[in-house]
Order: sequence, then structure tokens, then C-alpha cells
Amino acid sequence: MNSIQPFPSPLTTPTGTRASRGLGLVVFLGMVLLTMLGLFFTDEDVVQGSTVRLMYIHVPTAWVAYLAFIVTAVASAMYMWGKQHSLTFDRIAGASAEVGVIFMGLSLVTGSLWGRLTWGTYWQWDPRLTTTVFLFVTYVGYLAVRDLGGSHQQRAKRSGVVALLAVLEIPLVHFSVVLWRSLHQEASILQPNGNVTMDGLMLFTLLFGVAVFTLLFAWMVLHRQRVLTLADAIDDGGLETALQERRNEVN
Amino acid sequence: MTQHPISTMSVARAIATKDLRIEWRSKVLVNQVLPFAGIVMVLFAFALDNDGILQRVAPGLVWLAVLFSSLIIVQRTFAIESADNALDAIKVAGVSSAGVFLGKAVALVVQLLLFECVLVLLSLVLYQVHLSWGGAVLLVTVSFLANIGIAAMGALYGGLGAAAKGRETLLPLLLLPAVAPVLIAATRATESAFGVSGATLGEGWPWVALLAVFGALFTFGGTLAFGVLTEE
Amino acid sequence: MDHVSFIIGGYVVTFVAVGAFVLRMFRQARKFNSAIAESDKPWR
Repeated sequence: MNSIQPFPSPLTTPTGTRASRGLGLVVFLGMVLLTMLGLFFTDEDVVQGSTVRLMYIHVPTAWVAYLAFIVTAVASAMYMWGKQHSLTFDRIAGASAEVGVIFMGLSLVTGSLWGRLTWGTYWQWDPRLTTTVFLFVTYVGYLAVRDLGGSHQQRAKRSGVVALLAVLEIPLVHFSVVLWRSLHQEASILQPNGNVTMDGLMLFTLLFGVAVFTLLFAWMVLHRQRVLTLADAIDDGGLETALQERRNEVN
Repeated sequence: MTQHPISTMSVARAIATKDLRIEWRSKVLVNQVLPFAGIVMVLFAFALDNDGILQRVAPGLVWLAVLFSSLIIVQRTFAIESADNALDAIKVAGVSSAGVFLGKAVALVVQLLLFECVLVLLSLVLYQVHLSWGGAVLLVTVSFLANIGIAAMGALYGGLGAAAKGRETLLPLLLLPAVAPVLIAATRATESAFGVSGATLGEGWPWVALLAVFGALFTFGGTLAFGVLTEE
Repeated sequence: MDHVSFIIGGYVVTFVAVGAFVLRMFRQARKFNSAIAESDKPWR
């Protein structure tokens, strides 16, 4: 494993282990199967027609996005209240937020594509959508806070506090948006119709998608967290090297 | 919480009076930031044209101008500290960070109140909205409670930006989404106070509750979190 | 066919974004790896 290959394939990574490769393979095969099921094997919905095929990818991405932020919040709490203030929890929080931002963006894109087909509009000021955007922006801010510099512990504390504040903020945002919308009912633009009567295979495909994307999330966070560990070690090593050079200069 | 030689409340009072005295003497707020808020109100009128629209959206415009101004005020509140590394000196002196936070927030509440007075007066003149006595009472309550929320969030995230030097650009990204509930609640309540968009006075008061919860929650959260966020 | 392009587009966007994230992550990992002692890689 340690031999330096002249032209490493873009799919090799030093963060891989036997277990993570196994998981990666399962995720890959699952994705292929999900795509086949979603695009070809399932029937069209009675109401939604073929647009229901977007659900098989939209619902899992949205689910992973929310899951990612829950993981970030929990990992931040475990860092803050853990006895050793372990940086591992901090890196898990960071990795999960990065993956979460990606999936939140994707769920907004796939959601608006789906909305265009079923509602006739890319965007609606629906409380859930609006809160999702706030969640997205809040966690972009969280990632920026992680980038502020300083020691690793400092980064962990700061971003931990910001993540926990976000847990307070988001319900308030959601609640106020719900109140806001309930006052200003506009002439209903095509009723948002999420209720789909699903036959067995459709329901299976949806649940299967959620499961596969959850495994994908776990796999991505696992690797990302290890890369962040390497990056932190580089920072520490860089400091050591700089100090060593400085000492050599003086002598 | 460690025991500090000076009580949290007296630290808060000292910081707040110091901040307000600096602003009073330097006049930067009155001579530069307040005119900025005024020109924003005029520009809104250009952008939206007149003819009734302005009257309907006046509450939202007032609160948008308040939020934009709050970004500048918050940045200034911490700029006066970081100029001489005064925040570090305060920390070295070992005073309670909760006190520093509360002091900063109180000073911000007072400054924001000044802005709201001016901006509401401007909207009465420029946007031709009408304010009854009952509306004025509601508006004062709303402004005060909204300010507590904005000031708490502002002091918290402003402190974070100031602790990481040169990264003040982060403030709007963190602050604006966080205070969105304040914008929504304050705007709806002000609609009632102005009597625009068919809103009655009674509809305004429930929003006051939301503002109060927001303010209380983040004042409490801020006293706990400020020390960690500004730590070196 | 609006529907088909939207549906295919949704799948493509998702897989491309995830793929780009993963490839970038792997490249970063390979770049860092040589400078790091094995003892700093707890998963090994």
C-alpha cells in the first residue's frame, strides 16, 4: 500500500481500508441498482406521471442533508461536553457539514426541477423550502467559521458553538416562516401535491434510495473525516518544520 | 463559571457606558452611519417607485434599513476594541466575558433604538405612512424587543469576527440568516402599527411574543457562548 | 420532452456533484499522505 505509484488512479486513496472499500463497493452497486429501478423498472405514477422518478433521488438527498446536520450538531455537542474535547468529534462535525452542504444544494436543485414539473414553478415560498435555504446558508457560514484559522482546539470550540447556535436558530426560522406564510396566503399556485399512492416497487425504490444514500453519506464522511485528520497533521507538522528551520537559522 | 473579581453586571455597565461614550464623542455614528441609513431609505423609494407601493412595503423597508445599519454598527463596536487590542486587554484583566457580552449588547440596543427613531420618522415623511398612538406604543415595544435579539446575535457573531482578525466579512453571512425571524416578526408587527396591508393593531401583538422569545433565548445563549467564541 | 431532460438532469447533477466532491477529496488525501507519519493515521 505504501509504495508510491507513478500514476495513481484517481480512485485510489490513502484513507481507504478494507472495510471502507467494501462499503464503497456496496454503495456503488446500490447506486447503479437505484438508477435502474428509478428510471426503468418502476411504473409511472397515476397522478405525477414520470416526474415521480425525480422523487427517488430528491427525497434521499434531502434526507441525507438533514441527517448530516443532525450528525454535525450531535458531534459538536459530543466535542463540547466530552471530557477530552476530542478533535475527532470536531472533524466528524466538519466532514458531515461539508457533505451536508453538498446534499442540501442537490436537494434544492432536484427539488426545484421536480417543482417545475409538478407545480409549474421552480420555487415556492413554502415553509419547508424556505427553512431549507436558511439551513443551507447557515451551514455555509459554519464552514466559513471553521476556516477562520487559529489552533485546532480553537476552531473546534468556535465552530462547535456556532453549530449549537444553529440548532437554536433553525427551529425559530422555521416557526416564523410558517407564521409568515399562514398570514399571506396567495391564490394557490397549483396545490403542492406530495401525496403519491405508491405501489410496492415504487415504495421499495424510495426506501432503497434512502438506505443507499445513507450509506453513501457514511462512506463520504468516513473518508472526509480521515482527510481532515491528515490536513490537521500537516498543519501541526508544518509548524514543527517552521520552528526547526528557525532554530537552525539562529544557531 | 469561575468567580471574577468584578461582578458581571458592573462589567456590563462599564462596557456599555464606555461604548456609548466613545460613540457620543466620536460622532461617527451620527455623522456617517445615520446618513447612510437615510440614503438607503431614499434609494428604496427610487428602486420601488412611489404610488402606494412604498406605503405598503414601508415596514419591511424600515427593518431592512435597520438590519443593514446593524451590520455597520456591530462592526464598529468591535473595531473600536481591536484597534488597540483592547479586547485582549479586557480578557487578560480576567473580567467575566458574559459581562462584556451584555455590555456590548446593551450599547447596541441603545444605538439601534436611535436608528429606529430616525428611520421611522423618515418613513412617516418619505413614504407617507400614518402612525396612531396605539400604533406608536406597539412600535416602541417591537423596536425594543427586536433590538435585544439583533444586539444579542450581533454581539455574539461580531465578537467571533473580531477575535479572528481581518475576517469581518463573515459577519453578514452569519448574522443576517440568524436574525431573519426578527425581520419577519418586526415587519409584520410594524404593518399593524402603520395600519398598512389591511393589518389591524391587534394582529401586531402576537409577533411581540416571538420577538421576546428570540431576544431572551439568544441573550441567554450569548452569555454562555461569548467567552468561547472570542477565546484566543 | 421537458420531463425526460429534467429527470435525467436531476440524476446527472446529483452523481456529478458527489463524484466531483469524492475525486477532489481523494486527490487531497494523496497529496497529504506522503508528508504524514503512519502513526498519525489511526485507521491503518
